[in-house]
Amino acid sequence: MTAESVDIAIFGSTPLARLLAGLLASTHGRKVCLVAEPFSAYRLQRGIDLSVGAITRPETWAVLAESAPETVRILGKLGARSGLERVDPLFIADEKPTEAALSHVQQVALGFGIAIDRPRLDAVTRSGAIFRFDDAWCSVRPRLVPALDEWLAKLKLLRRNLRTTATEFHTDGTATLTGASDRIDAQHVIIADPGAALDILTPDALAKRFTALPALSLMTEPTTALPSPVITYVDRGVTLARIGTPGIAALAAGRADEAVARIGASLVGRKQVRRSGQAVYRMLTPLDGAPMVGLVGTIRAMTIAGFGDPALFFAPALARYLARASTGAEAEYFQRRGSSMLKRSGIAEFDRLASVRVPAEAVS
Amino acid sequence: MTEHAFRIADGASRHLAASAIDRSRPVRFRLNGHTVTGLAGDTVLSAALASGFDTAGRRNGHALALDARFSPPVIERSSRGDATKALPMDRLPALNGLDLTSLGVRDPGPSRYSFFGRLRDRLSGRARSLNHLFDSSVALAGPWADRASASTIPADVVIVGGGLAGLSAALFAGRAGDRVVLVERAPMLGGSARFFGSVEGEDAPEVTIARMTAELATLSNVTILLRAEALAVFDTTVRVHQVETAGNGISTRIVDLRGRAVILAQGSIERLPLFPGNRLPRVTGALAAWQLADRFGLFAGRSAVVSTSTNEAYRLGMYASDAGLAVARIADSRLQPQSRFIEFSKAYGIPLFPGTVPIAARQAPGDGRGLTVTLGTSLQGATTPPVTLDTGLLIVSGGWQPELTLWHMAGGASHWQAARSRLEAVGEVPDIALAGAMAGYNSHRGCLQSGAAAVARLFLRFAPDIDDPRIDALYETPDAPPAIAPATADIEDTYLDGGFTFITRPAAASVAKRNWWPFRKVEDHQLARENRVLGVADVAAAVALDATPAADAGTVAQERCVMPRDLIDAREKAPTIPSLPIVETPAWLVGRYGPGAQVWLIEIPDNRAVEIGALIYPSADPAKPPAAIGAVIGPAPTGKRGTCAYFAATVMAGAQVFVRTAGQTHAARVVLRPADATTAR
Repeated sequence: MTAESVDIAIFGSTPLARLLAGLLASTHGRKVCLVAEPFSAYRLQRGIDLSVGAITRPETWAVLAESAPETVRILGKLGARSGLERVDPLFIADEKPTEAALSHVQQVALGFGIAIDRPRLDAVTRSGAIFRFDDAWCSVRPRLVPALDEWLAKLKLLRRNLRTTATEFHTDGTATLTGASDRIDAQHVIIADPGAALDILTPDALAKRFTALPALSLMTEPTTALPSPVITYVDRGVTLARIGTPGIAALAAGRADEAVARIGASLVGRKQVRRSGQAVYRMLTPLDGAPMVGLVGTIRAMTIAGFGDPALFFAPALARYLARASTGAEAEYFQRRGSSMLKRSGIAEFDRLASVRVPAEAVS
Repeated sequence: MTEHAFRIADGASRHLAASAIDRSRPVRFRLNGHTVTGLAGDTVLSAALASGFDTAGRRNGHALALDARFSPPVIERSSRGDATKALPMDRLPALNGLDLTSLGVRDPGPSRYSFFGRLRDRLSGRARSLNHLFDSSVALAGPWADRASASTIPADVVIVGGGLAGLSAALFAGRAGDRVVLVERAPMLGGSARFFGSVEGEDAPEVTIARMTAELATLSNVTILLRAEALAVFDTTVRVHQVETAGNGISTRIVDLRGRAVILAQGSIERLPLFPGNRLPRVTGALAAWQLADRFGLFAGRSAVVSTSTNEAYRLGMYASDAGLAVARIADSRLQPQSRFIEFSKAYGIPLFPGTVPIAARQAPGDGRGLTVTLGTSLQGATTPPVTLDTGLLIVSGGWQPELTLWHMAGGASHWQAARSRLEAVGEVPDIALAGAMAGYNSHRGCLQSGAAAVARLFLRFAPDIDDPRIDALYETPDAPPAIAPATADIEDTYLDGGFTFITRPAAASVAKRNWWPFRKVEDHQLARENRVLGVADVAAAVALDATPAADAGTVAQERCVMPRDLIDAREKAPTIPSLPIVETPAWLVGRYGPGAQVWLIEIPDNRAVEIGALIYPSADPAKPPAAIGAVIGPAPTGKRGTCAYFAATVMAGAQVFVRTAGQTHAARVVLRPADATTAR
């Protein structure tokens, strides 16, 4: 059995995990092993990557406003530009408090040069308030992930299959990965997406830091185009997307039967839309609804969570922080979002799903 | 053609019982304006097939068979326009006086069979096609899947499937006093047990079925729903669509069976060998052919060629020959198959051709009531030329895929079992158990024991051993994967499965593209791009074709094999998640402006309205949002002028501030705290 050692083992299968792994290896010179599920073109998406979001804290916008264009530039350089599309996403509020929060998002985002208007679109909602972000980026994962994988292969980054690699996590923050014929010792562990966190962290560690929520991913048969490629009905916990597919991809928080009803109510103006695929999964969010990048559990794994749909677009900033190359406001931003609940006061973002979350260990 | 030209003559077969029909009681009804003659006990589908209908319509310009795996829904003419009253042809009893029309897009174009054939049909008042176009890419599952449940039946255990395993489970739970509801799609119990038979020392399946059915009839705590299709499983509730008859009337209902536990015992799907023309009229699966013959005394042809990779098809070929069908040959994809049925078939004088697979099927010239079948060697590199022959019926058997759709719907997982070339269930789902072929048991004894064991596992929390005897491969050659014809640019489509999904073999061109494109590896997962529901047999075939990676098969099946029900929820007010509690300062503002921040009222000259959420700055100079000292959070309390704003502790009454909203800046004055305003009032 061969043995190797790496600086960092990154666990996660999302585009964020893959991009982080590549940036830490290429830009920051770390020796990295990515432990991810192999990409499957069939698998329904468990999330979307959007360069904007219902972000209420100016400091979050400040980091994102720098990091998002940088992400697009990086993806362009590494040949993954086709994995992004320009969109004007819509956020819909059915309830007044949500409208107030989104209105604040509009004001703050405007301060960072991101225009949000409030069109009237009966094809989207007749009673709710619509907020349209001008000129955002959205990933097309079936194109983006293979392109990222190709880049990682060129970087000769070590990669292991999350399903077949046995990992022993040690209390000093290191880990030993054992495959069929080799062993890898990692000095640090990064958990980069909710799926990996739910797999790796103990119920106790999850319960102390996170809430979880069942969620549903659904695909429809081909149907007429959405009024916008990405629509988020905030009070329904539903996101509809039509990116690179003739059908609609829908993501909804909550139990499957309730989620299906909320998705169905959001497919406005259509006589019939049949589902063609469905998957259930779990969402994970820090207890206070704010982004987190901090050490979690007795295994002291650096865990990234709570960045929401824009997570991918924080990647360059996160990579700098994880490589201890962040300075100034950016470093301060991530330091305030560590895992110590004592230091995390006054950083919560608007979290509409807070009313339905349950302790992380209760969602199976 | 006589009225019952396709019926097996009464008494002609010792083995095919025609158990569902009463030959002394003819029934007559209308379908798409044509008179259909059947027998009491027929379904609308079996009567239509017996009357000469063999074509559902066309897809991609080619005829598509009407058969047990695929038939469009029908509706009574008096209910046309109300799709909620659609009925399934294969579960609807043939009753005198019905006037039905099939649902779907009508085909305006000419049919592919000859002018004279059509003229003869017209003159004789007979038709053979329901004349639909199936070119739309959307799924064609029954519209009843979209209906809401009208009632709920509580139960201790809900059992889906009335074959040996399902009956055994019902009996075991029923004897223990549990409230049992058993759901069976067919008009009778027994499933496909008679097709698979039993081994020496076991009762014949019909004996076992009769004994169990008789005992179940004595148990008042057991309810059996026949002609009932399980549409979905959520938690431990099974949603069912049932066709009911009372006198000469028909009704349907959607009912939720709410159990404490669910046992899934739906058996297996017969897989299609993959060759062009595999869904032409008169190409039929061996199990489907058996069921028509055994239940309704019906073979939809007078001669047959059998093409198989299983042993059961020999048994069917033998019994078909016994019933008067001219079985021209049995071709087997396996090179040296061994089976007792093979020996029996030889004794019947049926020519046997091992190492032979179907290459293509085409409709025979003329009236199109026959097939031209090309058979070739299954041996790689062999130079034996293909053989072409005409036949009335091509009976094919491509092996078995456990019907895992409801298991996946319930959250169950599956994986590709390469040794058996099929998807098999793995893992557990709370309060749901598998039995019979779905759990991997094939023998008569294994299926019976697995039904009882499923109940024991769910209620008694122990898993008894199951004896599932298998005859040594030396004597009974195991099933081979379905035959795959070489990829050609044939004019007929190759379907991956016989159901409603209509997934066809990926074009050969895409494979070529992957080979010659030098700069970038193109992962050509064609099925991944299909925004359509797949069937588990589609997925199994796609793996066999290398169009789906075996490692992904379980995920694909779990996520893509779903009931394609309509999602639209037309409620006046869209459902939302529970509201957040109303608080003066929302969590997303807490801490924004430092410790001691509080709510104040501000007044803007001319009482100008500003957006909620607008930022407030200490000066009119342009600045980024982090420099803001407050934000507008709402209107003033009732009866007060001004606007509520949330401010840093440094802000005092009388201070001038600047509200920036929609690109404009407005001067404002801080007047008093709302709490003070309330006190002053």
